[in-house]
Amino acid sequence: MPFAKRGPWGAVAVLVLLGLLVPGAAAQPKPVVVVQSGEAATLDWHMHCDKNAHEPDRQIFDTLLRRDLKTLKLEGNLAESWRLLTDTTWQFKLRRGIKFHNGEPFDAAAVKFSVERMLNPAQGAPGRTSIASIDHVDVVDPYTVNVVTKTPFPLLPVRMSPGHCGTVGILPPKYVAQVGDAGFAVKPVGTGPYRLVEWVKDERLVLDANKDYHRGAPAIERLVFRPVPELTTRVAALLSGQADLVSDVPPDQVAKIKASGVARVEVSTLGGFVIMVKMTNYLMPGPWQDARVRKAINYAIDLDTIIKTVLEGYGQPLGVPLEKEAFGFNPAIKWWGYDPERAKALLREAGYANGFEMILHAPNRRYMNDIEVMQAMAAMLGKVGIKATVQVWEQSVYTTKWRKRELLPAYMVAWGGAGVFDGDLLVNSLHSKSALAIHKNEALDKILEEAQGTNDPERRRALYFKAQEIIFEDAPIIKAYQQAHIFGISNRLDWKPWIDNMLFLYDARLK
Amino acid sequence: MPEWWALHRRTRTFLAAPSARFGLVVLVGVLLCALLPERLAPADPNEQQLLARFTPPVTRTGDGTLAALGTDQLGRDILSRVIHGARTSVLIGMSAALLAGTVGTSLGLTAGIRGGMSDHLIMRLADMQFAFPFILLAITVIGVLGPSIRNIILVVGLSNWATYARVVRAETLAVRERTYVDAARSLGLSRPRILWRHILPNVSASLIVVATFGVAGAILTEAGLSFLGLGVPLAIPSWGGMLAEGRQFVDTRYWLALFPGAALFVTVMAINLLGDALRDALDPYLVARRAVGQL
Repeated sequence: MPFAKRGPWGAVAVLVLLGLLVPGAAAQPKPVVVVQSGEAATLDWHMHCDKNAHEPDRQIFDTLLRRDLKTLKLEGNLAESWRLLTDTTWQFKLRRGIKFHNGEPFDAAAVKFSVERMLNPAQGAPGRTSIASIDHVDVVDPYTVNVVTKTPFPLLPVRMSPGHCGTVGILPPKYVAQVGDAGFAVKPVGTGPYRLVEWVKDERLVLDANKDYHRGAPAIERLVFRPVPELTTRVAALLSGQADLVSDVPPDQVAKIKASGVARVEVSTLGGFVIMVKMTNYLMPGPWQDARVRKAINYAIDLDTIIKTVLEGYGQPLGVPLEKEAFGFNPAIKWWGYDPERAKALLREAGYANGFEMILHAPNRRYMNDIEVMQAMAAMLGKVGIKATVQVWEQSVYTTKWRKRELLPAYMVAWGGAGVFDGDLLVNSLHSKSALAIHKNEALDKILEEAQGTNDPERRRALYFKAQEIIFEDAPIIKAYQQAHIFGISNRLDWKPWIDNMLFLYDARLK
Repeated sequence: MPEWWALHRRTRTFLAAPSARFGLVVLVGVLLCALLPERLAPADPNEQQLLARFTPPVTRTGDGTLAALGTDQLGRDILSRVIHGARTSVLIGMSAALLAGTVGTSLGLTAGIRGGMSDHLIMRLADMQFAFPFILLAITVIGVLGPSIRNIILVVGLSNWATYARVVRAETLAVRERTYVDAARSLGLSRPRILWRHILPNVSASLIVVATFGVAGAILTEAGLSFLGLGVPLAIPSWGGMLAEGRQFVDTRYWLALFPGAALFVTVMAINLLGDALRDALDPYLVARRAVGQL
């Protein structure tokens, strides 16, 4: 009489065991788990600049255009086609029959609402400046919109394709009005390949496949995003089978993942961060105001060795601070090489034979082995007589200080890796009015402004080529390199990295 | 009993404990490292050999030099960094304890001897100090003033005075009622003189013990702050900073974190053992009991 003694619980246990044996219950595959460094504060595409929020958002939302992974050319997505009507008007023809996850139809009104919402200064979208050239959107008919810009805006199609916070995700106007901004931030609805099922703060964010997705239902039924702040714990989760995908794996963990037998490593150089150390020529008096000194500093740095050792080869030196795939990249320019003798000679010529002191400001684990790269650079500067000290700042302090232009005379920062692939990145990183610039060169400013003001690709290309020549001669940075993105992927998952270090999981499938 | 005889006896009691001897030997070693790191360290602690990064312990690097404790992520010699790190730890530990001790003792003596309002005020201040979360204070102060050795000494020192103040006040309250203090007072000695000549020497035994643990605590605190990135600047080797850097590699290159961690552990343990032995030797209650036992 064992059951009788234990009461009803024994019977329940048997039923549960039987339930596990029923084929239907067992067929539900384990969801694909992505571990992230932290949790999103909001899932409202327009309202953040946060990798941890972009990753789920890329699955929930869609953009008008998308990028072909092989050719890197833009192609239609929610829009079927697009063309330039006048110098300041872009027309998009929209795909028909697409619905948001809540059943609301996708149409011209949704596009107008989404663009103008992000554009509205009162909304406070952090990516607003990237599309500030847009004036308004005209609805021509339910499936045609005209985006009217204040000045020629050649980058508009790029801003309508997936990228970071400067790109326009398409939101459902009726639903947003119904739940309000605060409601939308936690229960977003889009047209993307996955829809939000539940979001338990600090624990999990669950997305299910959108069976009606306009490009066909995704192969994976369920995605789970989990916040795991500690990097080694994320890698451990991958190796113990609790996670399927980890991004931003540091080089020293690669061997361990490769040897594990349960996971593999994918390295993507496409759209990698362009990392540079910027120097000021006007915000702080000192030797760095002299272009000869800036060149000497460049000559002192053996970037190849740094990449080979500190980055364990997961990076490549760049001739100019622009990604190689970018429109307008000038392949003819080779940056100042490694030549300590020339560095010393230039310093003597500039009147600093006895060297000088300078501070290099470094972020704390924002980019791959950033502190070590800066320390290696400081030691190399020491060899030519420049006494450089590395000052590391906690992440939030670093961001605040760079916005206030207080990281002087030199600091490390990355630009690019946002799916833009355009010489326009030079504007954001080196135009003196840009939020990240600490260097001023009026000729460069003028050329970059001119390039922004024309839609003619050939003219733009020529202007960006010229801009890169000026940058080379002026040497406002200490060398630039592109960091590779390293992903750890469980062996059961078939997935290739996308154009940046973020995840786009529509094409992923289980083996 | 003549004074020298008491001292001799206490020293003998103190040295009789094996733990005290161990502590003393370790501490002398650490102090030597702190005083003469340039002489003892085989290499410049900040010299990078990028091509010899992550050399395991007891291995020769490419140029033939022996890396006894291995090299770190920038190819710096860990042994040299541990030796130089002793200077940071000892400097901060002792200075912070000295600062906390001076402030705490002055306030404790004042509270104990004056009583009344000053006593209340100082002790409530001490309560507040105990109630305030230290890390919050450290983050705020270091965030505003910037990380430097001086600022760490200030933060650690000024946040530990309350312990000293409480102990000294309690001892003072007991001592000030003694007949020799009454005698001094009736002879017309000034209050500062009574404090200096009669009260301070008689509370010093407890003070020394508290200070010993204070040094150990301050060393650990400095390591903790450096671990959080609020510590000494990168260019100055420190055990906490080395631990923080090594943490990232703890599962693949153990030696980066192991050796600074071991140095920290052994040093703090040595100081604590020494503190225990000092207390045994100096505590009047224990001394009296031992004396009775010997009779």
